[in-house]
Amino acid sequence: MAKREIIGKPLRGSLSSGATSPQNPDPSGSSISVSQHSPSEQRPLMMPANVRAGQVVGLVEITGGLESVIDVSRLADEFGADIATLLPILDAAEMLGLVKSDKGDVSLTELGRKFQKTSKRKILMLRDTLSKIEPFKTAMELASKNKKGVSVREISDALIEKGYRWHHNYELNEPLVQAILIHWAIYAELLSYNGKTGKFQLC
Amino acid sequence: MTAFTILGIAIDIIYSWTRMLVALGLSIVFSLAVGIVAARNKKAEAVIIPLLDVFQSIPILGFFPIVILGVIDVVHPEWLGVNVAVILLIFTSMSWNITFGVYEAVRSIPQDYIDLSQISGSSSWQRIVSLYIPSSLSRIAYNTQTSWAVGLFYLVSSEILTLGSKNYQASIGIGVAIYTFYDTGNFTGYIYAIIALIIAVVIWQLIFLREFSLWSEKYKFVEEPRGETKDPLMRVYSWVNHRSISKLFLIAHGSGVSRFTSSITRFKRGFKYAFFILIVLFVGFELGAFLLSPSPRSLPSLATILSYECCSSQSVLVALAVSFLRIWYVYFICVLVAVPLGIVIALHSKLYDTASPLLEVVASIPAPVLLPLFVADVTKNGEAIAAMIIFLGMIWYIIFNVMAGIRSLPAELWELRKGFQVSTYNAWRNIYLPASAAAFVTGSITAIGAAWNTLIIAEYFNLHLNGSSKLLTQVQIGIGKTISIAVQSNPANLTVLTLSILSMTALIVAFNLTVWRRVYHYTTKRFTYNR
Amino acid sequence: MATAADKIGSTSEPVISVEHVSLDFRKEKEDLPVLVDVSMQALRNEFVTVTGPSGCGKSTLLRIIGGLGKATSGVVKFRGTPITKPTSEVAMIFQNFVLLPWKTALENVLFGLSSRSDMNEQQKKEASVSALESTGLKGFENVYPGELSGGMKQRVGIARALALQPQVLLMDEPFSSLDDLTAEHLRREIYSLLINPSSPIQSVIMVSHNVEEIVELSDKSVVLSARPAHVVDIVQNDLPRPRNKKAPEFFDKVDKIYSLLA
Repeated sequence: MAKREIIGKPLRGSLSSGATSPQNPDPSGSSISVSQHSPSEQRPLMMPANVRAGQVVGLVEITGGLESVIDVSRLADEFGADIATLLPILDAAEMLGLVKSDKGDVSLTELGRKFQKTSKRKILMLRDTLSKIEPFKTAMELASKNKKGVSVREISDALIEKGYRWHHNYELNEPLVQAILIHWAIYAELLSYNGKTGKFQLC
Repeated sequence: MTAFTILGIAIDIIYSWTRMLVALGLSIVFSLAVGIVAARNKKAEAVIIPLLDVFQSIPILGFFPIVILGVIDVVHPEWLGVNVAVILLIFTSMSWNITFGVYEAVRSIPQDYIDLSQISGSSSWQRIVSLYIPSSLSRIAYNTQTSWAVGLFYLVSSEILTLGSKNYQASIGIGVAIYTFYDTGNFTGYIYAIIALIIAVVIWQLIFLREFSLWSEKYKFVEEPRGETKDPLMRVYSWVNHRSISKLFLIAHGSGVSRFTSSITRFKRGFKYAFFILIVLFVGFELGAFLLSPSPRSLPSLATILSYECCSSQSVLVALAVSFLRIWYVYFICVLVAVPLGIVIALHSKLYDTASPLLEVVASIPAPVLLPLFVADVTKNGEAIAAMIIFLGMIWYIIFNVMAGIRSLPAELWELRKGFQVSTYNAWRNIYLPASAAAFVTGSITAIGAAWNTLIIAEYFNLHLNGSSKLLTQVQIGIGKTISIAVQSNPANLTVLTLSILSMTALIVAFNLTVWRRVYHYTTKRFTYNR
Repeated sequence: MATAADKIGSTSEPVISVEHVSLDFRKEKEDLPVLVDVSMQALRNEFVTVTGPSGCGKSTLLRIIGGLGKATSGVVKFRGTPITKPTSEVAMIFQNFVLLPWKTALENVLFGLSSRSDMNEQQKKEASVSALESTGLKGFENVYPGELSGGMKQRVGIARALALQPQVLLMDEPFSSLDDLTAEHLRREIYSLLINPSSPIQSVIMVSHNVEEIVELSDKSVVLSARPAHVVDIVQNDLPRPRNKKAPEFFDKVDKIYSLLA
């Protein structure tokens, strides 16, 4: 239960307020969310945990197959998924600039349309966007400093230092960071990962 | 066999069982007190849980000679002292496991219930009686099964150990009876006594432990369907099917290990393990000092111990190292036998159905009972006898764990093997061996722990009965032998005893915390088959 | 091995032919019929689905086709030769992936090739790497299954089967352990991944209870009855691909299969 509450919280505010730019996170998620900085140097956004690249691809494909603007609850129906599952996926898609949502109405962006039409290795299109989002940004910074690769623990520690957490429990934060990195950064060819050493390296 | 002898054996069993029951009662009381405090008080938890973890890895049988010396000094008359010492030993073997059960049960009480008891304004005493104790019962019953099996080993071993000295002896008890039959050359009696022990274990399992655990189910938060039958014959049948004894080898130690490691991680990385080791050594030392002698001044100082170790011709640390190597070479023989055997049995359902109940019966015999069977020529065979006893003390943990590891694999893996036409060699290398690795490591940790306990009898045993003494076995050198001899010399050599026990404990705890912990984490992470 | 010539040959000769297959489970002196006289065929370039009420024995039928189980009577033929044991011409994809957690994605695919004595280590490795790449897992070679999501695990399972270069692919509810979105994504790719000019696969037989999925993927759908299972009907499906799940013709097919199942 606790896990679900945390996932994707930092962006919940932006979805309801209809803004696509980085926003002040939900005030109720104080312990997890990212503190607000001055607007000129916005802090990188957080990729919600437990959202898989395949799910975002699925979301874009289904949204693109429907009418141009669609209500969130109808979208959930189309998926056969409940809103709680859908929202973090929507958050991720919005963060990546693939969809925009306005007061619960969702539509594909220009990029989203291009993304939908690309048939092979779609996630590569999101390379630049992802590299500005956490945990990818920090992971890449660390990996660029160490040619031998960097472990999840080092990445997770560095992120916690900066105030980015996906779970309040230190032990449980690490696997979440690892899952996000594996499910996005390898597809986007930002990082490579070797399960035997447990280390990430720059591609 | 006369009716008189059979009656005699029955009385012996009743005596032994009484010791067990007293120890069990004490363990339950202790567990409730300590377990509830640990579960409800964060500060107490931070001290109790790691301490219990360390306690469970100490070879308590090694402490027994010292404990008995101390207790007899304090408790009179002597027969009472011996019994108190035996019960104390069984208690230490039973209680940690049950305490963990209570601790986990109380911690997992749904928050709603605790809120409710707070809202209704019940006193803490009421809360203990009406909430904490009832919700611990099913775990107590469950863990009692394990503790009983472990306790049985200590009961028999400690009864036998008392015969290792002419100064104090338990006069009645099944362990004593078995050795008395042996000593008087009554081989039939010896065998009967062992069979009687097995029968007692099985019947006890059927009536008491099973009923206790069925009764306690009422107190579970989640009702689980159970198809229990009241027909006694069917119960025997279902017992055989449920493999109760192999379960004992699994649960006991398997969960012990995971607790062991998880509670360490609970204390974050900053906490130095060395700290725990120091606490234990200190407590052990002081306890020994208190128990051993009315005047603590006679205990060896650190300087005495160190100078002994440096200058004596019989180094305790060398003996410890030799025993360490002995355990490990026997362990490797054990692995070579137990792993393939366990896998083969588990892979063939028909073989499994026949072999596993048999194995369970054999496994329920405490290894020290079998010592006389191997004794032929002490001067030549000391090493082989020691190896045999250690071997029998550990093999079951490995076999039963490996079997359970393989049996728990889903049928899909067999389909994979067939569908992709995987050869037998490849299946062993890539499926069976890795799939049993996690269970194997769990079994190994507990097997090695059990091995340290068997040393005290396996390496040296001098039987004192009816006024004569008979050296049953001895190895050239070993820590178990060092301890036994130090206890028997008159007066007991406290310098050697203190040094032996402290160094042995430090070695075991350090080894568990460094090597085993890592191996355990690695194998459970990598070699656990789940979807 | 598939050659170009094989693919051009007559389209009427079935790749897999199930002929009058019956199966009884012997249970306490009583014979419990599971499958009764089941006959069906999978033709060249055909995606065949098998469906029926749950527990009807459709997975059992698939196991018999794969040579993993034996029929009481009747025969399954692969290009005219009876199948009695598993062969590398017929590969299997499991509902629960069945990956070995102690092996990386690449090692799992290699493991599926362990029986192929006709390939050397280098060839096996190349085949495995390219199978992983074709299922969209480039870059994931050294990742362990435990670190992958369900969808990616099933892709490893598919790659393991494809690396064998089989002519027939059997799939037992391959999407049912996945969440809807992931399944959707994988379903969209699977048809063109399996059946295309460069693929050696000539026929796919998939067991499923998801009617929309069946209509989306199949050329032909075998509908079985409840236990004991016999063939109720075989529904041909010629809707153009990619299939529009909103089209009325699509709904007609879905309704048709539902009515046969009811």
